[in-house]
Amino acid sequence: MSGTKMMFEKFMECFGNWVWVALFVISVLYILWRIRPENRKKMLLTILLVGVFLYNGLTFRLLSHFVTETDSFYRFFWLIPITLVCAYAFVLFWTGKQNRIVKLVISCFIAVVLVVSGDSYVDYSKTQSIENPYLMPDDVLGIATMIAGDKEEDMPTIAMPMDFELVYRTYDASAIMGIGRAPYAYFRSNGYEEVARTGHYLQESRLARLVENGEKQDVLMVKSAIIDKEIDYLVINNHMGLEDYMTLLDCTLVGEAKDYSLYRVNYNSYDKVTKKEEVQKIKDAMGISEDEETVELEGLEKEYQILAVNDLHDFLLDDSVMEEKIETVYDRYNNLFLSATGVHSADLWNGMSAILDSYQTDGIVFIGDMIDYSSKENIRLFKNGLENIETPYIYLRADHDLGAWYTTGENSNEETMGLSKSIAEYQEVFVKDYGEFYLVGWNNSTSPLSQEGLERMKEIFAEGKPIILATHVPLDSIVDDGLRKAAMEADPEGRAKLWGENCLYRPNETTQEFLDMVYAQDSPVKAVFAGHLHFKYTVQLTDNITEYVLPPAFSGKITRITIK
Amino acid sequence: MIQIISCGMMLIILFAVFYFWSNIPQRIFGITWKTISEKIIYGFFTYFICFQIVAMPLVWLKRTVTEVSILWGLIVLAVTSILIGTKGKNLKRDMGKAVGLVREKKVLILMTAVVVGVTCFSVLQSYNGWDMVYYIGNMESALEANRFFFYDGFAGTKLEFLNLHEALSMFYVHFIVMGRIFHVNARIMGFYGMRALCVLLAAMIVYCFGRRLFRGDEKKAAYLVMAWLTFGFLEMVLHATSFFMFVRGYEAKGFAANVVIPAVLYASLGLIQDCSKRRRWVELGLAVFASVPISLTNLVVVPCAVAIMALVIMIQKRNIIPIFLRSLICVLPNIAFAMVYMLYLKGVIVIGVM
Repeated sequence: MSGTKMMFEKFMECFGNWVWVALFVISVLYILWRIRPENRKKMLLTILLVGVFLYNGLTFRLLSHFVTETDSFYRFFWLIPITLVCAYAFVLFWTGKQNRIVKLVISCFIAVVLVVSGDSYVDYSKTQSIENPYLMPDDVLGIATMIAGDKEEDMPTIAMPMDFELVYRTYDASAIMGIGRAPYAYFRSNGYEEVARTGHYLQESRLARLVENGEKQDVLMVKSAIIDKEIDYLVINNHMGLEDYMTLLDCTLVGEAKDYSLYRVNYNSYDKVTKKEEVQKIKDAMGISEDEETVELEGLEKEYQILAVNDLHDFLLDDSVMEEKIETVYDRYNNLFLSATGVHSADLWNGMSAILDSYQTDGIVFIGDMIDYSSKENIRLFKNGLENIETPYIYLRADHDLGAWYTTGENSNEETMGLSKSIAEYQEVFVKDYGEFYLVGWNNSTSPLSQEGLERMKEIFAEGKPIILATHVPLDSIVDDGLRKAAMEADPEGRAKLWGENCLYRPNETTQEFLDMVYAQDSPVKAVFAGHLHFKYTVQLTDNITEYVLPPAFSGKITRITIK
Repeated sequence: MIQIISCGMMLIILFAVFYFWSNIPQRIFGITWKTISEKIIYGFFTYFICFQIVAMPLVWLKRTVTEVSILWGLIVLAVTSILIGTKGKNLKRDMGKAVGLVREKKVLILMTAVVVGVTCFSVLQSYNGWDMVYYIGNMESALEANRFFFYDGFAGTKLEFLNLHEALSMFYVHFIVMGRIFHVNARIMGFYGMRALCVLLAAMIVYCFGRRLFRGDEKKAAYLVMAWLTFGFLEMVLHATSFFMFVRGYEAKGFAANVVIPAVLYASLGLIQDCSKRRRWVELGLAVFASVPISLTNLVVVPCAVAIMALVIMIQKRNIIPIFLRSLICVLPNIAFAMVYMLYLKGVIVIGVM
């Protein structure tokens, strides 16, 4: 669209309609006719200069580009005092020498035309329906009073219908809006289908579907949204018939105003799912299942169990994704990271993190790529889930946990590292002592092992205690090329994404020294658990060590490792 | 109800303060404004310029709402007391003149009644929109948290940095301070206090316009105000100035569209008529200097108006340098604000929130 045309659209937003334009032009001409000749010259000169310098397509383009947004250009039209000019012309006319009847007739004519053609933006009916001095519905005051009396936190988060929120926010600032302006605008203008395709504001849109439209969606998905957005209260229209559904969501009725009710989220039933049937319900809905692997160590006094979770690629879309990467991210979101029942990794994580403790294992090891790219939203999402887990865990990072993939790229390594460290403990090498063996984690194994990491590994290896090694990137076998071939087949570019001579990850000096320690005949390593390849594979790494490449968690798979 | 009464009291006190503070530029520049309306308008600009100078550093230093309120309350009290002490008798004289004028020209009573009626209509509008949520939400958050702009106006979540889009212009800060001093909720302040102030100041400027256009004819000026209000009622479209006055007068944009820009046009009209009068340059300077403290919208819009006015005068008078220099001096504050804002947008000025 040309600058002139766009400018004209903005012009009409200030004028309203053609009747006003006509009245304004007539008023200007009348004023020019009535004023003194010297003033007429000045007025004409002003109009000419305003047209030449301000109200033209070029200026519009320049100002819209460098100074203000196109949508805000209408403010420049405030320099044309439309009503004042019309009023001035009218007073000149009214106090002129014409016949009074003529004046009256013309005045009435103008008034009638303006009233008939007018498209007022004011809802005059609301002027008569004031319920209280705050000029807001009593319902809002009622709900605000209930929250004030019930809240345990200083600033509870509330999900409420948009029109309700518009009023509530201006009255009670001691609350956080669970669905803000941007999610509502996106959801309302694009619809849920587009939200589901892009994953943009997915959780907020689920909440909006509930509180705005009264849609009874999958309970687990809505619960996932409630957990993710940390909702404390929901405001529900009484006429939607959601009473029973709210019970399913574990929400308790706090009170009822005229048309709306306030529900409190019962977080005790959200944080941890321990009942067997509840756990099973989540597993069925989300497509979560366990793989079993057994490692036999000689001379163990008891049996140990460890859960391994890898390659969740947990993510929610936010505004940090680069424009040119957005379609790639949509594709990953919709086609790549889905469980067996079609659940997205973000929802999967909300369900998974709630049930991990129910396995009652001795530990959990997260073996990298737990988030898809480092962004504040993804970090927050993953961290929220981790906070629910009481079982001792170690979290090994990999390239996706630390890389600002797809985002603006402004995050430096230092920043993404800082973000990652805010989730959980970070060490070059993680060591978990189970008394009879060590669980050792090679952190960030998509990068070579650092000198510090190597020194630590040497210390641990020197102790001679059996080691179960966890690494995100698998190690290439020295006795079997099956894994390498399978990895090359699975990769679209034919790369073997393993650590080894003929692989994508070629060891540097320190890493090679570490690998030599692993491959050594007297190596204390008894088994290696890895991820990264997104398929399951078991291979003999050496004659003594078995390597287990685990299936990805985004497919709903968790691996229970029994060590006996 | 008590809050609404407090708002009414606030308006009366503010108008008195504006009236007395108009003596500051009158004294500094050796000029005289003849009508109460002019005194209130230029007192309002003077007051806002002073508020900007005092409050902006405090807001940037992340001082509390209470601290800024106490400091500003004491400053207003001290300055106004001095001005009442030295210029108090002028009020009696001006009021006497005004009463005499009203007795002589009954149409002024009608005009006052219309303006009051329109103000009542305006304050009773319960328009809800996201902009309202943002601005009133910001104010309410500040009153609740006792900190300026620490929380997002829409969602109420804590921010990382001060948003200079808000913290560069002290308009909302002023009414947050008023809310704290008079114990008024932001919504009541916005709907009743700010909207009423917007309508009343806008009507005063139009009245001044009328006096200037009709060469001091009070009767015609009153007609102009009433005709302007009537046309405003009929042109209530989304981005019309009248909509920003009658309905969205609690926004800085409402004041920009109906107080600042008309004041700049008023001064420009005076200068185009006769640019040799010092008083008119002072009027322009005050309106322009106060424009950004009142609304960031004026950052570019007002200099555009000044540039065109200056061009008209330069062409007319064929006298470029003095007009250019005077106009440039008038817009210097805007240039300074624009530079600060650019530095903020470029990420040079970053003020973290505790």
